[in-house]
Amino acid sequence: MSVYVESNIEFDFTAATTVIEHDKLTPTHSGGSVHGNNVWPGVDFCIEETSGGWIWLEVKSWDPTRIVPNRRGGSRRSFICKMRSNEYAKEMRGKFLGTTAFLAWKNALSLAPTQFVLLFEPPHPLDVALLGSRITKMRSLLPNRPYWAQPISVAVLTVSQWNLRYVPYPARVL
Amino acid sequence: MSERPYHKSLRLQNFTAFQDVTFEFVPGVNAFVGENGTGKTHVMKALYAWQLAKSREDLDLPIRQVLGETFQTQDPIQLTRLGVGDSTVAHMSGAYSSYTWEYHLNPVASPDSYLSRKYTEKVTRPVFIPAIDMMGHTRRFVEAYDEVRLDFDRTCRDIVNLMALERKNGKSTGSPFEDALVSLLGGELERDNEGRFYLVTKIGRLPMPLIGEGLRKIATLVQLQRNGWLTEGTTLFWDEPEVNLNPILMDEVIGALLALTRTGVQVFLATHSYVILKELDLQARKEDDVRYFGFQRSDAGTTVTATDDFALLEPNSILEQYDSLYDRELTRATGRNRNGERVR
Repeated sequence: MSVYVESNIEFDFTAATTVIEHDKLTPTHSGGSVHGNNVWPGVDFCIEETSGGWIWLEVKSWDPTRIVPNRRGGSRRSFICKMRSNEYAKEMRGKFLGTTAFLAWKNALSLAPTQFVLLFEPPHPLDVALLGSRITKMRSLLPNRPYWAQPISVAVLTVSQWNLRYVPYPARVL
Repeated sequence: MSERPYHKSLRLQNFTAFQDVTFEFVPGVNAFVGENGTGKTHVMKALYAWQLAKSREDLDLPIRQVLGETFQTQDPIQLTRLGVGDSTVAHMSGAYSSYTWEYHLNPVASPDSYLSRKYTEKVTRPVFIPAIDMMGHTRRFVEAYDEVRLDFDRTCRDIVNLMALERKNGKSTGSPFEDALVSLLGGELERDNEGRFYLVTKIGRLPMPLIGEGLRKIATLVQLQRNGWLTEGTTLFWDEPEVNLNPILMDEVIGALLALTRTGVQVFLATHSYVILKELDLQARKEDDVRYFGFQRSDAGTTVTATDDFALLEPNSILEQYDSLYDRELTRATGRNRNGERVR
């Protein structure tokens, strides 16, 4: 078992070849050789699949257990406001660039296809139309890909959608 | 103090797409959602035709004639749902404020029957904004329609007429609704002696046909308000407000419509727009009445469900399409379908 927790969501990445966890100095499992990044902005996890492709995973979850009850209403609102703001989209771009730079600096940037995934668990269910618009926004903010770089695709999904698509790496809300 | 008048309910039997459907309306916004051909516009036209025929504006129009002109049929009996059951009679009945009514549309050979009970107040004249723009086609339109029976439905004629006609003792003195829409227009409306409308802006006096059709829709609302047709107790029917209207304007338009309902106007919308529905969902205050109606085709005619919570609207053909788009987008992005299977 190779279990990781980010915010209030637990992931089982046992089926992955390599997992790089942001902000952690601990080595990766399954023979990975890259240590985490605690200096540059970056995504929460870089997961190498057995197919050779990578998933760069950023987790944004509203976690009521970390908020005192009488502040949950305000926190819920500020979470939604932040998620729909341009500042947030720019933050995601910064994380993407930071991860790219960090891995390049460590000479570990793969040119294999990479999926840039935002796992988004809001306090209230969000219409798929709004999730879809976030994908378009995130894609628009990624830099143009030079010919030699890896193909990048972008997805914004919830935990339930994650579990439907990424069956080898089950996730659950704690 | 008497309650302001509004449509409380409607029952359609053996009528166009409907075998037997009952609607319970709210005094605020009633939004109709469904695929093409499920009868959303027909419900609005049925209510409009009845209300127009019975309105206090002394029009003195037989309901059968108004139905025929509103639905643009050669013979209103064509509104009878064909090929279903053994009935050849279409029935409409409803409640408007404390006023209940029934109308039976009989074959040509028989006289129509009209029953009304508990008459307590007069019916106000309704306003119907059709999906096609009429603001750019006002010059002598009503005269031509009345003279040669142009091949337009009656709602087109009536909206042009109301834009030119000031209601007796009903002229508006302005409202938050009007202010919001005027700011979107970016100019003042003017009408010449021949019935043409213009938008007067900083760059000049622009004839309506030179203005974007979306803005013409907004100008239509402003003109109706100024003429006093959108005041307390009136009913506004708006067929597909999204036509030619950029989604970026929906925020203001829906805000203005909700402001209008707070002044006592009942609103009916038929829409295919997610943006409109979501704006209603997001902007409605607790005290606002908003009801969503989902239309769905079945072997027994169109069926309708109603909810006051947009998230619970079922069926929601618009959201289903977004769901499909999102599903395909995720499949492309992740290389996996919703069963977790890898796809190319």
